[in-house]
Amino acid sequence: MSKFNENVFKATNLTVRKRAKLFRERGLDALRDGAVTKRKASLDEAARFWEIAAKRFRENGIEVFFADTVASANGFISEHLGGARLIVKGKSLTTEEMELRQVLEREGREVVETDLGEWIIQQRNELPSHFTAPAIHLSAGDVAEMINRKFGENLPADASALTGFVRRKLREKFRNADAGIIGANMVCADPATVVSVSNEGNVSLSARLPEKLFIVTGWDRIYDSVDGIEGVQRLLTGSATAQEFTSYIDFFRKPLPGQQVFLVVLDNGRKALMESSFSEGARCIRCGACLNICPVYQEVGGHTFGKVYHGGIGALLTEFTGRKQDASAIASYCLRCKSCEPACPMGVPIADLVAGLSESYPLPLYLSLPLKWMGRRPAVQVGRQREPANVNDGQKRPKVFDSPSSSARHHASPSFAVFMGCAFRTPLMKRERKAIEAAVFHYFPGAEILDSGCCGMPHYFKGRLSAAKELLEAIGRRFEPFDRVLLPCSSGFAYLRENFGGKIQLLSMVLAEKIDKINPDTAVFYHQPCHLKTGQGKDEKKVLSRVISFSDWENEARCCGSGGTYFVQHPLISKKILFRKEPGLPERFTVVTSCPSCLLQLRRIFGRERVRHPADMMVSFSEEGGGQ
Amino acid sequence: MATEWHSISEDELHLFINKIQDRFAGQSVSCVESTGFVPATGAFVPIDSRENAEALFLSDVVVLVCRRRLKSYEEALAGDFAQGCFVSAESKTADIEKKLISGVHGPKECIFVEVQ
Repeated sequence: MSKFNENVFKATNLTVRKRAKLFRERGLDALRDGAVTKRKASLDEAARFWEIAAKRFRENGIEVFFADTVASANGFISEHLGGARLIVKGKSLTTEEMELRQVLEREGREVVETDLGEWIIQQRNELPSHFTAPAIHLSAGDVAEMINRKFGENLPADASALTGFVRRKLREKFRNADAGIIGANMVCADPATVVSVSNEGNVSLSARLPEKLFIVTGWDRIYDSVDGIEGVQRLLTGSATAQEFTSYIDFFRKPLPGQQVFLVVLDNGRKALMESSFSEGARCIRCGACLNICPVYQEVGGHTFGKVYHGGIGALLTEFTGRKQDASAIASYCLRCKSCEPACPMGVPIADLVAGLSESYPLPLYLSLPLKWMGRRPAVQVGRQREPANVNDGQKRPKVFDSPSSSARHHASPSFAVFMGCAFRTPLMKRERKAIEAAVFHYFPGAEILDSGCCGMPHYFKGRLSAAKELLEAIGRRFEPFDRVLLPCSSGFAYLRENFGGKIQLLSMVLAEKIDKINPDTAVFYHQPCHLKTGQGKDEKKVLSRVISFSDWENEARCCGSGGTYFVQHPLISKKILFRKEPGLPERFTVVTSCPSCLLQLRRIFGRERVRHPADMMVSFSEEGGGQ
Repeated sequence: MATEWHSISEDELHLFINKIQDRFAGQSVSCVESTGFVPATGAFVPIDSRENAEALFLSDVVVLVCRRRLKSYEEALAGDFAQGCFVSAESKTADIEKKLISGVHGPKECIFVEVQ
C-alpha cells in the first residue's frame, strides 16, 4: 500500500487555509505572547503548581495520583476501575501513549472510544494518524466499507449517514457505562480546575454519565491559574481546528453527587524534558498545527512516523516518552524546513530542537561523508574579484555585461564582503556563480569575495553541532572586519543572520535596490524558500518586485521538498512534495528562487532554463547587463 | 442553522420556548439556564448533577437561556461550581473528510436566547 495519502493532503491544506483566515480575522496572533509567557511561567514552577492543584482537588473530593511511569498509571486506573466492565473513553494522546485502552481490553473490559475519529480507528485497529483528527487518513468510502463489513450495514459513503450510525450505536454505551475516561488539555492550580475542549459532546457525556470518572493528563499540562486560560484555549482550538471556541469547553472542579473522580498525572519523561536543554518543547499543547503545515506530514500522514507522536515535535516527544530509536526514525522524516515554527502557537523552535536531538542519532554514510567534506575545507578563503566570464555558456540567454559600469550606483567600502557559501562552488551552480561574480564585479566594486567554505547550516540541521559551531566560529572571525556581508544563498543567509544579526544580508535584496525594472520574455514566478518564511528575508519577494514583475502563483510558498539532502534521504517523499509545485503554471515561465537547494530541486521538474537565481535573472535582463 | 442566537424580552420567553417545541416536534427539546454568556460566542452552564448533564448533552435540541452578559468565559470561572461547560455551538464533527456534521453525540441544534 502506498505511503502517500491524498485524504491527508486535502484535509491538512483545508485546515491550514481556514486557520490562517481565522487568525487574520480574529487577530489571534496577538494572544501569543501572553499565552507563551503564561505557559513558561507555569512550567517553570510545575511542581509547585501541581502541589497546589492536588491539595485543592483533594479537598474538593477528587483523588489525585501522580504516576512516574506508564505502568504505574495504568496500574492505578485498572485497580480503581474495580469491576467496571463497560468504559466510555474520550480522545486523549496521553492515554494513547499509555496504550491504556489495550491494557484494559486485555483485562476483559469493553472500552469504547467515543470520539468519532477515534471510534473509527479503534474498529480498524489502528493508531491515530493525527493529534486532533485521528481518522484524517480515511475517506468516507473507507469508513463506510469498514462499518458495512463489520456491522452488517449497507451505509453509503456519506459523512452524515456514517455519523448518524455511530450516534445511535454509542448512545446506549454512554447510558450504560460503568466508567468514563477523558483527557485534559489544561489543569489550573488556582482555583483547581481541569479544562477539556471538544466538539462532539462525547467528552461531556463520558465524564458525566458514568459513576466513575478518570481524567488522565500529563505533568506538562499544568497552569498557574484560570486567569488568561481563555487566551491559551483560543490559540489551542484556533490552531487545531480553526475554531476560536470549540462547541464545548468543559470544566471539572468537584465530583457530581454520587460520582467518583480520579485525576491521573503522568510523568513518563515529561519532567526530564522540562529539565533538559529541549525544555522549550514542553510548551507543546498538542494542537497539531505543525503537522497540518508540515510538507512531509501532508503527504504521508501520521502512520508513516510509526508512533503516537508525529512530525518534528513527535521526534522530541518520543525521545522523552518513548524509545530513542523510534525518535530517531521520526526525526529522519523532518525536512528541517521550519514551516512548522510560525504555525506553533507556543513558539516552540521545533526544527532547532530536532537538530539538537539529532546530535545523538547516527547518520548514514551518504550524509556524513558530504558533511565531513564540507566541514574539512577552510571555513572561508578570501578571493580577489576577477573579471567575470561570460555567463552565456553558449546558451540562449541574455548576455551579462563584462566590465564594471561607470554608472554603478554603489561604491562599496572596504568593509563590505560577499560570502559565496558552499553551494555556489559546486559544478551544478557554475552558471549562477558566474552571474553572481558578474553582479559583484559590476555593482559592488571593491567588495571582497569570501570564496569558499560552508556556513555550517547543513551540519547544524543534521545534528553535527560541534562541527557547525567550529564553522560558525571560523566564519565569525572572518566576518569581523566587515560591516556588511551579502549572501546569495537564502538558507545560509537565514542561518547566519540568526547568529550574526543585521550585518548579514541577502544579496538578491541588496541587488534589487540597484537595478532598474527588467523585462523578461516569460512570466516569472517566485518560489519562497522555507527558510525565508520568517525574519527579514520574508520580504524578499516584495523587494525583488521593484525589479521583477512576478505573476501570481498559488504554490509560491509551498515547500519543494529539497531540504538540502532530503531528496537523497527520502527520495519518494521529496519527489511527491516537489510535484505539488507543478500545477497552475503556463507553458512558458521562469521560476526565481534564492535557495540553491530549492533551485536544483525545482529544476528536476521544470528544467534547467526555467529555474533561476534572482541575481542571475536580474543581471541577465538588466540594461546594463546587456539584457533585452 | 444548527446554532442560532435570539434576543427577546422576559415576557416573550415562554412563548418562544413553545414555538421551539412546535418547530422541533417529535424531537427532544431541553431548556437550560446559563449563568452568563458572551454575546454571539457562547454561554456558561454550571453542571451539578447527572440529570443536568443529560439535559445539556443528550437532547436533540437545547435552548440556552442567557441573562447575564460576560466579557469572557473567564468571568464565569471566578464563581463556585462543581463542573461546568462553556457551550458555543451544537455537537458537531468534521472527522470524516472534514465535512461538518451536526449532532454527533449531543444536540443537533443549539439555540441561544438572550433575555433582556
